[in-house]
Amino acid sequence: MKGTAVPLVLRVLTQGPQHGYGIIQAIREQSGGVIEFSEGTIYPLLHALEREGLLSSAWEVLPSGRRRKLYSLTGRGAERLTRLTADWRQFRSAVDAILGDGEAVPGAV
Amino acid sequence: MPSDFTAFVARVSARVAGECERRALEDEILDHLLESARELEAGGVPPEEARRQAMARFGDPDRIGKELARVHNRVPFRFFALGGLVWYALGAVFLETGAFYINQRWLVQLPLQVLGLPHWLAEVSPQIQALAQPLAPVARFMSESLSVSPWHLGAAMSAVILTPLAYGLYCGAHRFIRFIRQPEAAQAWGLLKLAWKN
Repeated sequence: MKGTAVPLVLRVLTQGPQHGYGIIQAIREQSGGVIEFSEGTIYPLLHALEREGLLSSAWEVLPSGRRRKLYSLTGRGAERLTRLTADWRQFRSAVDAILGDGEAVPGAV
Repeated sequence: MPSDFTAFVARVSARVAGECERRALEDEILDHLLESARELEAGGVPPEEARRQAMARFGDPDRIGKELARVHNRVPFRFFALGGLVWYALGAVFLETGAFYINQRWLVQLPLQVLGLPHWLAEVSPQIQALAQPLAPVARFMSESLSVSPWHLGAAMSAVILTPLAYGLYCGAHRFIRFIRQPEAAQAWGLLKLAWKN
């Protein structure tokens, strides 16, 4: 899960700046509820990506006076997403090649 | 603000170094919890229960706090690598034969000649040597007992001692810049400028 979370987060942020909670929701909704984070774990990930320069952040002041941290994708983040997407495609087709296209599993001899 | 949330975010941020960083983190997590509870309430969950669920969904605050601390409190490797190199070069200049005097050999002379600078370093070196004299026997003893050349020992020691010091300075400067770039600080700065103009 840890490895695949990075491209998912980066991908969600191509749709525009988003806060941590929004990212979790977007991933949950867009995966049809299949991919569910333990919510808090997104923050160490986001902060690490920000330190790496793949994300940048800015504070938005809400009407209530609280502030909200919004993350957006940097140029380097977009490059990394392209690479991770290609890696994932390759990995998926390799696994598919071994598992076949879902025909019945032959019984044990 | 519900006090259970305050205690929760304090647990998440407890291990992170730096007041500024901790406050930013607490605001971020608090926003998450409030948003989560608000949506649960909108879905018909009673307020008390919504807050409890929001925290449960977030996960173990201590475990996540530890992970965050690992991200935040880490000294970037490139800093140590670069710092080590810089201090090694400085050590090479300052620590020939265990006394802290400036070596006039190629390491200093070559760049000076290339740049066409006067040999002012050569004139300072006796004073520095005199200042560092008390340390020379210590350095000699250490290098003999470890059978390492004082040149390398001095460079290694300064790398070990001075790099964290320099890193502290770097962090302080970084934090200061972050601090003055915060919206509140920017507002205060704007007010000051306004007051100055009037």
